[in-house]
Amino acid sequence: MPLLPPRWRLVLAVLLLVSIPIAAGVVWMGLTGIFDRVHGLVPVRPPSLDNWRFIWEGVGGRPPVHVPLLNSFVFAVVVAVIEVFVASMAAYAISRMSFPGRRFYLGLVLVLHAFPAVSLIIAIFYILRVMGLFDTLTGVILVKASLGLPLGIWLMKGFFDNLSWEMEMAALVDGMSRWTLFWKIAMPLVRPGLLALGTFSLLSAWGEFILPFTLIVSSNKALMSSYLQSFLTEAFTDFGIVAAVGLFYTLPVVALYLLGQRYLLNIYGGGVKG
Amino acid sequence: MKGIAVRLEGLSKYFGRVAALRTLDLDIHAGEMVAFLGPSGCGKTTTLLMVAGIYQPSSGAIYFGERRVEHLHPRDRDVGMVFQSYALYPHLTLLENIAFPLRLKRVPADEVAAKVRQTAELLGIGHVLERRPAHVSGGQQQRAALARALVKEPQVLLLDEPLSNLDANLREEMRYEIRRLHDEFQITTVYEMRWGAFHFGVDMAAPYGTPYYAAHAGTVTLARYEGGYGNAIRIDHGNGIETVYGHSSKLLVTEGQHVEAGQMLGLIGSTGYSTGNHLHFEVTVNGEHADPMAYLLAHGVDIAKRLEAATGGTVIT
Repeated sequence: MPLLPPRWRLVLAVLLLVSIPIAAGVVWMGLTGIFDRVHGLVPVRPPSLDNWRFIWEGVGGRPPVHVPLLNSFVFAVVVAVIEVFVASMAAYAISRMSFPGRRFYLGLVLVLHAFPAVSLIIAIFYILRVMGLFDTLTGVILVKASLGLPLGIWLMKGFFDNLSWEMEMAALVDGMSRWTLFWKIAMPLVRPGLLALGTFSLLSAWGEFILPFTLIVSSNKALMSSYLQSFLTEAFTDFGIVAAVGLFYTLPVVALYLLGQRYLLNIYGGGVKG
Repeated sequence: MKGIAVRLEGLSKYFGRVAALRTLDLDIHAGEMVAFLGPSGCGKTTTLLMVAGIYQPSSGAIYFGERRVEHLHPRDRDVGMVFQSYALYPHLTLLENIAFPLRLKRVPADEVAAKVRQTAELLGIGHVLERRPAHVSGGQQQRAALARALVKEPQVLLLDEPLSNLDANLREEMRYEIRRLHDEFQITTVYEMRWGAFHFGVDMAAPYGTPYYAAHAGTVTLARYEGGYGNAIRIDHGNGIETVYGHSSKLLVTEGQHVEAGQMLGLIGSTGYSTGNHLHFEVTVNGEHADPMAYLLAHGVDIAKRLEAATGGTVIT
């Protein structure tokens, strides 16, 4: 690798400096998970697997870890699938069709995106109670997916706006209906957008805490975030196990991030590369 | 394979309150090639898209043969269209692009393969069928777009400024190609071009010394050299509409003369006029300049047997 010009080396140094606290946190989590007890960042005990016992047994009356893990997987995947499909269909309609109230709707979606979701939590709680969806995975999935839609719609609209009208006209002349055109021409061409939105909403749902924590009370329906939180509320917090669970909870995200970063970079670019 | 007659009756299109096209009447015989020309914004593309079925006309009727089609979905019209940007599907190979219309019609796979192969060979792109549009030249993209339009053996072929994105050599080649295909298949073809490309239109329609004719009856108010138009002929149709035909080198009418619709007015570029075979149309309504949409006919041994300016009907004010 060629040496960076001096000005960039300075920038790099500043960036590294700013990143140190975050890096230190990650290092702490790794070390604590492995060595059980750490003073500062220095391990004081030999490494043990004791902190990882939550993988093969239920700890302190909690369900075994595969229960929240599976719940989280289901939650994240279903939320991502709903967001991708609903957002792309809504975005296509907004991008391509003119209907009464289109501008108003676009503005509304933008406002919803800017609205802090947490402020809605009491209303959401009440609505779920009425619908009989409180303390169900279905309920949280619907809430999380709905809250993610405004961003998804705007993102996908940008991608659909970039598709050429002439190509869609050609597809109609070729004999496609609007519906087939959407699936066979438009959707494959916004694939980078779909992947970006999919990855983004998957990560966001995986890390979601407030919604499942508030809207799910049964421990066998809890997600990983609530499971992790439950270790912090004990009288004597075992930081070794907290770190191990945290590490365990992070691994899928790291894997997904490594696989999906190319598409994630696209999310603010919003372009289709032909 | 022979095309079908296309008739437009009082065709209009409004976008909100803006008139894109006002009451166009046009008869295109089966198997003819007709060119629309005019400046951008005069309604050429709008007309083409209404014939294709992309736009619904605001009023008026479109007939394919005896069948009224303006309410039909594009897929039920049997129309092939080539767009200015080619509009190939970038995520599919040329083969899949060309096969697309047939697959949508649920043609059996072996028949699709045979027809695609045949059409591609005809257009000289048989060797690049496995590539995607981004990996072939502009000329090959153009040919693929043409193949996609032709493969379903349409009754009407619509070409929207198909050559404007090509360089001069390729344009010459494709011009010839389009002519050859038309002569071979006799598909009714509507061809669209801008003023800037007009030179080509006349080239194709009216080679050296081609006579042109009055579209409507009227009185000749001018028949002499006029500015950049070369020899111009100005005809007052008596209803507030005036047409100017320009760039002719030989005049066959004189000022004050009354002409009938269809009367021969002059010859285009018959003697060495320096700018070549150009022809301008200009239309004024009640003294004000208006954009005309002219159409000229370009098929048959006696090419350019008619060359008309569709004045009153298609004037955009």
